[in-house]
Amino acid sequence: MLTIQLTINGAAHRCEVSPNTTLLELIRDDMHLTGTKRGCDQGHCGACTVLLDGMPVNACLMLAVMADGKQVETIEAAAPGTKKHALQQALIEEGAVQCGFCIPGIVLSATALLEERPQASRPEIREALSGNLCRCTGYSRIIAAVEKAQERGRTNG
Amino acid sequence: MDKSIIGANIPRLESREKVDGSGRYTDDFSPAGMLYGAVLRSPYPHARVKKIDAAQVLAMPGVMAVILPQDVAGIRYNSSGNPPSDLLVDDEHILTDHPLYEGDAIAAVAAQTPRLCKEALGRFAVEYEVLPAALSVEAALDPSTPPLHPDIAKSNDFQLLAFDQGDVETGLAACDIVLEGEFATPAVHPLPMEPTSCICEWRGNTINIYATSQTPFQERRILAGMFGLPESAVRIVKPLMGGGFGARQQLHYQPQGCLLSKKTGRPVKMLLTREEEMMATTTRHAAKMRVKLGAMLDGKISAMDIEVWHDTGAYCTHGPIVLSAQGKKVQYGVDHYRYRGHCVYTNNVTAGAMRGYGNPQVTFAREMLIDRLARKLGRDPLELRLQNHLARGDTIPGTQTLVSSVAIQTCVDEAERIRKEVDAKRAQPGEWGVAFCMHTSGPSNKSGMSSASIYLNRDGSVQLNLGTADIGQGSETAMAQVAAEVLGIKLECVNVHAADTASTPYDTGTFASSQMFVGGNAVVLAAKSMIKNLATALADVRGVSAAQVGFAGGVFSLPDGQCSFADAAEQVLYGGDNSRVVFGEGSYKAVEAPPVFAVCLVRTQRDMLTGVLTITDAIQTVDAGNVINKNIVRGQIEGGMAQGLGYGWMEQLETDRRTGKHITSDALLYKIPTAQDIPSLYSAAVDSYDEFGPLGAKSIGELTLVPVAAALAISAERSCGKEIFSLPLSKGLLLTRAAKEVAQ
Amino acid sequence: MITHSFDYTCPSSLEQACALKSEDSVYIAGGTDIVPALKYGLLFPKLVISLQNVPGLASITIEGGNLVIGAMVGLEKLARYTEHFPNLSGLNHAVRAVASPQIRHIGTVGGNLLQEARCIFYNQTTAWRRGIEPCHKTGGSVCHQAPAKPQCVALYHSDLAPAFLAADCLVQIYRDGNEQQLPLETLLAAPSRVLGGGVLTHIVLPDVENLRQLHFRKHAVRGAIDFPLANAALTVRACGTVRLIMGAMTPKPVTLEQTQSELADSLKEEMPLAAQIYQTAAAEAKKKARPIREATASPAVKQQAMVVVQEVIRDLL
Repeated sequence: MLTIQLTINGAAHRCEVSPNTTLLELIRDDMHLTGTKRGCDQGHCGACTVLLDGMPVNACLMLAVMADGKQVETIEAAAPGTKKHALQQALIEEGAVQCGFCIPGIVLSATALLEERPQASRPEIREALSGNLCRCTGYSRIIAAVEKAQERGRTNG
Repeated sequence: MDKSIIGANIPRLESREKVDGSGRYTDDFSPAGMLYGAVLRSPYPHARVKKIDAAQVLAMPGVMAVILPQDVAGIRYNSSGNPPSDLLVDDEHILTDHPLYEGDAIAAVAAQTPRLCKEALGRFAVEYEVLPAALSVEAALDPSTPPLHPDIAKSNDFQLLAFDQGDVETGLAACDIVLEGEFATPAVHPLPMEPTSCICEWRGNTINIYATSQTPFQERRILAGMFGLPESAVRIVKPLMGGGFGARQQLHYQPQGCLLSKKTGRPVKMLLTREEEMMATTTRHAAKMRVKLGAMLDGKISAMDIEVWHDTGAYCTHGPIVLSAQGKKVQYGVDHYRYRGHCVYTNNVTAGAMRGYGNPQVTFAREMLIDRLARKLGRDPLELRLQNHLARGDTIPGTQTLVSSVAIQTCVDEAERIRKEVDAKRAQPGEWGVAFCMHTSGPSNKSGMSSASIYLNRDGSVQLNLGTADIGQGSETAMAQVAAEVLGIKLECVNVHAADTASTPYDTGTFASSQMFVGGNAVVLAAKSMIKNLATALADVRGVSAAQVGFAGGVFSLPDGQCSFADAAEQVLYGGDNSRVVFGEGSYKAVEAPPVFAVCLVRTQRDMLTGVLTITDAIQTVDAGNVINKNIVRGQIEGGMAQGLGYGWMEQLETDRRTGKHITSDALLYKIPTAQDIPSLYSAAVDSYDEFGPLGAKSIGELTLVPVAAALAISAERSCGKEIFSLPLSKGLLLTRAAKEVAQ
Repeated sequence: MITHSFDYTCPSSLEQACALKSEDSVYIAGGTDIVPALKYGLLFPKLVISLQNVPGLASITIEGGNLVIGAMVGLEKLARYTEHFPNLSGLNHAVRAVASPQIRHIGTVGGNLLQEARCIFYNQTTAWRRGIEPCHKTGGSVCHQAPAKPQCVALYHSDLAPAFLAADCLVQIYRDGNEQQLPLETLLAAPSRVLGGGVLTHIVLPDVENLRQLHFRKHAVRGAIDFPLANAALTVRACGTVRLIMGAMTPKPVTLEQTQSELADSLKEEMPLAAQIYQTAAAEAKKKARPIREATASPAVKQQAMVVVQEVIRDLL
C-alpha cells in the first residue's frame, strides 16, 4: 500500500492505495463518487473521463498512484456561473441528454475545450469529443449544445 | 392542444441529474452487505465440461459461495422479455456443463470484491472436451452437424415463419422484370454505453432486484416461475439506465445473482465487463437473405419473394418472434408476397433483440433491389417507391394490419427540400442513396399492453405511476406531457414514478416501439379516469349530480361556477364527510399497431485517385404521427441514424474461422462511430396524426435505425459503380466522413 | 481491473531508475500501453518504475537548430507545440491522429514510439486466450495469424514513428551510465536489445529549418481512437532529400526507397509529377507490405488503406 495525496473537486485527500488500483477505482469505489462512469475499463469509450490538472484523461487508464500531487475534477465538482454550468444547461435545452451515461465524460471533455479555446471551431469540437463514445444521440445535439454554450459565452462576455 | 406542452421542445425531466452526475445507475448503488458475483464462461464455442472442481475457489478467503451446473440442472427457461408465446422455446440453463457458445455460463461465484471474483474465476479447475463448432448457418445445416438441442429439434433449422399473400410464383411469372439477389448482414451488438448489471437480493421468501431492465414485468414472471415464487414476491426496479436498444429486453444474469444471494444471504451485484458484454450478451441476428422482386415496365412492383435465414446463436431467446415481426414490414402494395424466415441454431453468440428487430436486415436487401430496379427502369428512386407505396386504409401485405395514417408524400417532399439545400452547398458532385422503411407502434402481434395509475395530491399536483421502463429514450417525460395535457395542468405538477414492479402497474416492456403508442394510450385513459372520478367526487362534495359537472381545459364547471383542478382536489380531499381519496387508472391493450414510416437519404463522394469513399450528409424524414416532444423525436431520429450508419459502415461481431474465437471482444476491436465519423444529420418529423394514437401520436423508437444502412449502401453502390451484397461496407470499402460540413 | 500485484516506485534520477530495472520490472511513462497490458494479463512485473519524477525528460527545446523532444513529453503537449511550425504540420497531424484526446493527455512521445506490436490474437484477456494455444509472444510456439510462421508477425502501429523517421530523427538513450545517440530506425529495429535496461530520453529532429515539408496521412476504420490500418509520412528537405515512410503494414515501418528516389529526382529537375509516381508508390507499398488480419477491416481493405502513400504525395503538390 502506498499513501498518496491529491485534491478531488477542490478538497484535499490522503489515500492509501495499492499500486494496481486505477484512478477510476479510487474515485468510484473508495471515494464513492459515482458520477464518473465505468463504460469499458479499457480506455476505449471515455465514460470515465475526469480532469487531471485541468486536462481530460481516462481515469481507468491511470494508476491511482500516478495522480499523487495532482488536482482531479470529476463531474460532481459544483461550478455555478462557469463555462461548465453553461454547457450543462445547453445540453439539457438542446435535447443532447438521452440515456446520459456518456454525459459526465462529455461535460468534462467539452468544458476543458471551452476553457482553453472558447472560440473552438466545429472541427475542433468534434476532435475534443472524439474520445467520448455516445450510442444514443449521434453527437449532433451534443455539438449543438457546445456551440450554444459558446454563443452564450460570447454574449455574456 | 396546449402548444406549450405538446409538440414543444420540453427538456426531459431527468436531464438535470444526468448532467450533474447525481443520477444513479445500477452500478452506482451499493446496498449494505453487498457482495459481487461473476460467471465462469466457456472459452470454447462448443465443449463438454468433463470435470469441474471448485475446491481452490472455495478455499480463497473472501469467496462466499459457488454454484455449479448440477445445482441448477432441472431448470430450463427462455430469457426473452416477451409475453408468453408458443413460438418461444425454453432451451436455456442457468449454468451448463455443455456450453454451446464461447461465453456460455458454466459456474458462478460470489466474493467480497470484484478483484476476488476475477481471481476466483481463474481458480476453477475445469476439464473440457472441446467439440466441433458450427459457426455459420451453413455449418449448422450441414447434415453431418448434430442438432444443438436434440431434445427440442432434430434440425438446427428449428422454426419456420411464413406469411403469404396471393401466389408469388404466378405473380413473378407475369412480371416484365424479375430482379433477385442474395444478401448478407452480420451479427452486431446493441452496445449501450452502460454495461449490463443487476443487484439481486434473495431474503427469506422475497427477491428484490435492481437491474438494467427493459422488461421488468416479464422478467418478474420468468423469475417467479423459475424459483417457484408468486410474482408478488419478486420485485424488480429499473433505476436510471444507460441505454438498451434491445440488449436488456430479457433476463441476463439475474438468475445467477439471485441464487448466489440466496446462498450467501447477502445482496449480490453482477456487473459485466465490457468483454463479457461483447461476447455473452445478445446481438442482432446475422442474416442471409434471398430476395426476388417482380415488376412491370411501368414501375409497379407486383411480387415480392423473401427468404431469410437467421443465425440465432446457441439459444432461442427472441429468435422466432424476430422473424414473425420481420415478415410483416412491407410498405409497398404488392399483390403477391411470400415470406419465409428460418431460425437456425449455431454455436455463435446468442442473438436476441436489437432495435429494429429483424427489420433492418430485410430492409437492406429489399431496398438495394428496389434501387437496382429504379436504375434499370430509368426511374427516380423516390418516385418509384411512392408509386408503389401503401395508402391510408390499405393493409400491410401478408397481415391484417391497417395503415391508419401515412404521410409518406410529405416525408418525401421534405427530404427533397433538404436535399436541394445540401446539394447547392456542396462543390463536389456526390451520389445520394435513397431508402424507405416502415416500422410499428407496439408489437405487430398485438400483444402490447400498458397501464397507468394516477394519485392526486391536495394541491392538484399528481403522481403518475407507470410500468414503462425509460431506458434513455425519454418515455417518462413524454408520458408526463400526455398526462398534463389531458388533465389540463402544468407539466411541473406531474411527478413520474416508474418501472418498479411492486409499486407501478403493468407494462409489457420497452420494446417494439411500444412506449409512446401503447403506454401513451394507457396514460390518456388513466387521465380521463382521474377526471371522471374527480368530477364524481366533486359533485358529491358540492351536493350536485355528477351529470352537472363538466370539464374542459383543466377547469371543472358546476352549476354555481367554475373550479380549477387544484381547487377540486382540495375540496374533495378535505371535503368533510364526503372526503375521499381519488385515483385514476387506465389499461390499454394494443389492438392496433399503426405503422410509422421513414425516408432516408445518404450522400457519398468518391475520390478519383484513391477510391476512398466519403460520407458527406444524411437526411431522414419520418411520419411518427403527432409529435409530443420535438427534442425527443429529433433525438430518436439522429440517434437511429448514427446506429444505422454504424450498422452499414463498420459494425460486425467477428469470429475467426480457424480458431473459432470471437475476435471483437472489446469496444476497440468492435467499432461504433465516434464524433469524428457521423456526418451532418438533417431530420424532420412531418405533420401527421393517427386516430388510434394518444393525442394522435405514433411511436418512433426503432423506425429511425431501419433504413439507414440501406441508404448508405445504395449511395456507395452508386458512387463506386460496383454492386454491394453485404454489410458492413468496411469489409470492401475504405470510408471516411467528409471533413467539410455545410451549414444547416 | 488489474488483478496482478506489483510494487511501484518513482525514482528521481536516471541512475536510480536503471539501478532498479531488472527482468522482472517495467518502466511506466504515461501508462496507456502498460496499464491495458496489465489488465489483459500480458505483463506480470514485480515492480513498476515510473519515470515521471526523473528531471529533464519532459521539455521541448531547440538546440543548435535541432528540435529536441523529451521522451516524457505528453502527446497533447507536442501537438500544441507543433501547431506553430508550418513545416511540421505533418507531425502535428500525426500526433493528433493518435487515439483520443484523453489518451493524448496521458500518453508520451517515448511511450508511443516504444509501443508493442499488436495482433487480434495477442491483445486479448487471459480468459479469452485460454481458448487458444499460446503463441510466440505468450510463451508458445505457434502463430494464429499464419500457422507456418516461426516467429511473431504482429504489426507495429505507431502514428508518430513514420513522421519521426521521415524527418531523420535520432534518439538519445541512457544506458549503463552513458548517454548514446543513434538513429531512431536502429532503436525500432530491436528496442529491447538496444535499450537493455536503459531509458529512451530524447528524440532529436535534426536541422528543423532545413525541413521544408512534412506530410502525414492515416487511414483507420474510424476517424478517431483506432490504430492505423496504414499510415505514411513524407518529408522534403531544402537540400532536396525526400523521405517516404509507410507504417502499420509491417513489423517495423518501411522506407519506400524507389518512390522517394523518383520523387527526389522529379523535384530536383523541377518537373511536374507524372501520374506514374502514384503507380510506383502503390506498387512499392504493396510489395513491401506484410499485412495481417485485423478487426473489422477485411484484408482487402487493409491493403486498400495503403493509399495513404499516394495521399501524402498528393499533399506535396
